[in-house]
Amino acid sequence: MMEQLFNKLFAGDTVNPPGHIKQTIYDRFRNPVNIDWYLKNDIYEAIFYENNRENIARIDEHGTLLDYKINLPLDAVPERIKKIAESKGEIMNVVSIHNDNNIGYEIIIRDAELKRYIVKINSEGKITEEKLL
Amino acid sequence: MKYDTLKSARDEEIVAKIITESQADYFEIIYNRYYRKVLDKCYSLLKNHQLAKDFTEDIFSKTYEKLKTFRNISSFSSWLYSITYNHCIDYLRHKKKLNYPEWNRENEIPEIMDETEDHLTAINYDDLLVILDMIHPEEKALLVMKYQDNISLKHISESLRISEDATKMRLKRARTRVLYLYKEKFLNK
Repeated sequence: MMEQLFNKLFAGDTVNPPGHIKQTIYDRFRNPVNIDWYLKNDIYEAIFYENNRENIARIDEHGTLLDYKINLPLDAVPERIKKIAESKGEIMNVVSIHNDNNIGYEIIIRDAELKRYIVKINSEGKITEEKLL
Repeated sequence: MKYDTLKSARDEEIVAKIITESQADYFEIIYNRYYRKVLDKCYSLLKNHQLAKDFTEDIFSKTYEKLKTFRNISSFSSWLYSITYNHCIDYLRHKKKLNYPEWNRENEIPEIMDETEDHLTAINYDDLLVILDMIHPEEKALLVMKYQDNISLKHISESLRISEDATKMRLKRARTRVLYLYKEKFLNK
């Protein structure tokens, strides 16, 4: 069983998308590194690094970038967003969501009892969703 | 179907029998089939033999109690392993104050290496096991769940209580870290 992990870990389980899909990534992102491609319901998903941060970009079959998400270190989270999140508990993970010139945040919070919540905050700093994980 | 005949039946068939015929005895077949695998998974994360044994018993009790909630969307083994990882990681987070974000900040990957480089084909299996014990238990659990146990991203995220996108990103990072550490420890000698 461990050998299965060994093989898959390095071989990956990715797809090879058409050129115009790949080009969208190179047009939109300056220096994408180690791109893994996945396909689900006709939407391509690229997972890669840019500036040492993990990114996920979704692209439709015509090559249109639908949205992208960036895994943010705590020091890259805007102060006002951080304050709102920290009022709920300890921040465990932050992902920024970019679409149509809007930036939202998906934040995982851990409260004093170590219960975990997902909190979504929009670009105006309003909490749009909060649920127990 | 008699007990002995069921011994060679698929997991899902046995589970269905336990539920529909209220035959708790049949759970022993599941227990015998998976005891060692669950124990090994617990030990690989907890690194304590007695604790791993206790946890294995707890996990089978928990699984039995939750049996009616099992849906055939995933295989029974994937479901059982999700419960196993969830139980162990929850313990490490609560009792051992395991804090992945803090660890990740303190153990930043210095170099995102190019995964297409040829030297990665020379990776040795035993050396990889050494590296897996060097990374954070949450990253190890993620890699094993995804690449060894074929657990879906949805179930991994539920089991580790993180979002699906965070799961994908952490998986990417875990893989990158393993490759970096491997290169540093075994290829740059």
